[in-house]
Amino acid sequence: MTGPRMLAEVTSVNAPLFEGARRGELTLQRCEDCLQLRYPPASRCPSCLSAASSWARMSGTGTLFSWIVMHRRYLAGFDDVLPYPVGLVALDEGPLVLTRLLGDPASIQCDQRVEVEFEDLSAEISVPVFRVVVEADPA
Amino acid sequence: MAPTSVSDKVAIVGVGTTDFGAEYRLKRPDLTAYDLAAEAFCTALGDSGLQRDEVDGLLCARVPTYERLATMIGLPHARLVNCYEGTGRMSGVILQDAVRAVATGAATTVACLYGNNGRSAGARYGGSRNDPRCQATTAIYDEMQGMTSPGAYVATMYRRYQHLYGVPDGALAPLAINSRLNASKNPNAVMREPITREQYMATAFIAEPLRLFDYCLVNDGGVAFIVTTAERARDLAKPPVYVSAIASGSDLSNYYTSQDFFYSTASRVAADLYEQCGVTPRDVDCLQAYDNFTPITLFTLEGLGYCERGQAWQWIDDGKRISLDGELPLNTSGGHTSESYMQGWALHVEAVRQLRGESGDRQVPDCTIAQYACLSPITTSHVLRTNP
Repeated sequence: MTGPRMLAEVTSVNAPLFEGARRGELTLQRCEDCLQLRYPPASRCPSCLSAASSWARMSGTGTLFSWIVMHRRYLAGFDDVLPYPVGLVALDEGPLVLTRLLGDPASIQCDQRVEVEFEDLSAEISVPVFRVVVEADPA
Repeated sequence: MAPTSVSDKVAIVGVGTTDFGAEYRLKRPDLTAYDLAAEAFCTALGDSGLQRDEVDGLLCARVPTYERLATMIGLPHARLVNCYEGTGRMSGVILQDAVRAVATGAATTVACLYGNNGRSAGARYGGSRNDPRCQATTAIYDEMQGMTSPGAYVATMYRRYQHLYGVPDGALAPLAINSRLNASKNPNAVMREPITREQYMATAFIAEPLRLFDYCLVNDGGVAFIVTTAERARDLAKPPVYVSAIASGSDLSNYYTSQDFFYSTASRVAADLYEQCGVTPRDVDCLQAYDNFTPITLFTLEGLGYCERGQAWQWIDDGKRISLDGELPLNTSGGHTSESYMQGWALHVEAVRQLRGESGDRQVPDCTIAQYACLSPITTSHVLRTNP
């Protein structure tokens, strides 16, 4: 499992996701007819079936639906972070996003707040990743 | 509207399995998926007492093509033929399609065949390079984030389940222990040494919170079952096992993870099923639950109405309730974590053997009603009975 991380093929449908991340913005595809957000990128709105879409900037914050720690090496390009946490984040705007989590697994819990950061993976591809927000101790 | 009932018009009349223990120990790389499916077919044919040429339907999975399998076993002119994708959810889908075909007269006798040489061929469940099916999905977006494998998605569901219902670490141990104990009484099982809670807890995390013993046992093997009309079934070699009800539903997303652990889909499937045949969970003598990973068994018990939502981990009563002499014997062959991961196929065969009284040391006394269920993106469940 050595070698570089496997990356998505950049297409006209998904390129804005990676370009947004490169600028430091989390952008999601939004249907121009019914305004429904969708992720991952797709050529058609699953709600109204419209093919018209644009990209909208998200707040970059959300809540952790659930999370795991990957202990087993399945994929190339993750050896330096193994074992690492991965989570399913419900963005404040609604959609679910599967993401690597930054932070100490010992401090992660379901329903915690998370916020986006960005990771450059290649010349073309940057992706959003999420960091668990550790609440300041009120004491 | 309730689906049309197949109500005992169709029976399973022949079953066959290859030697799962030998496949695991010997890793016979010279055997192709076709060889394994053909071996299971010949066993099932002999078991049924049917002549090969009475078979007019062939539904298969996991083998690369139906052409090669059909020509190999001399069925070049079947009326009904198809090869389904190689996922475990397809064993239940194929049984249901075969039953509907026989019930409607589209075919009279359908061979349902499975051959898998994935282990010796080096298949891994995770990483889209290894799974042609994934290349057509959105899996790559998850893989760029380090997420892959069905077990990891199930672990994601289970962590949420733990959070919602206050489930402590180790709550899955009784499921793994129960399956291993059942496998110790099954000569065809791969892993036959009973395990303790301490051994379970000591195994490594794969996708935490799941440990090695929560994972299915990937193996090579072949499985077959043959279905025909209830009329034809009456004078064959073995007592017929009637298909009393079938139901299915789906919860499809970009992830294997269902946000309600397949609960709403499974509840609808179960309601359909029980309405068709009048059977309720209280009547079921043994349950064969698709257990690619142990948490799915808990979700199954809840979704099918065996217990309240969020309660299955306590309902199993440290394994006592699901043991061979308990209220609901579960995965009596050892299931996917101890017998062999035959993607639901061998669980069907075990249901038939229990109903026929052929399960030897692991036989459930007076077993007349068995249920199969697979909770997954496609959920299927059937009720099988000895007497309509």
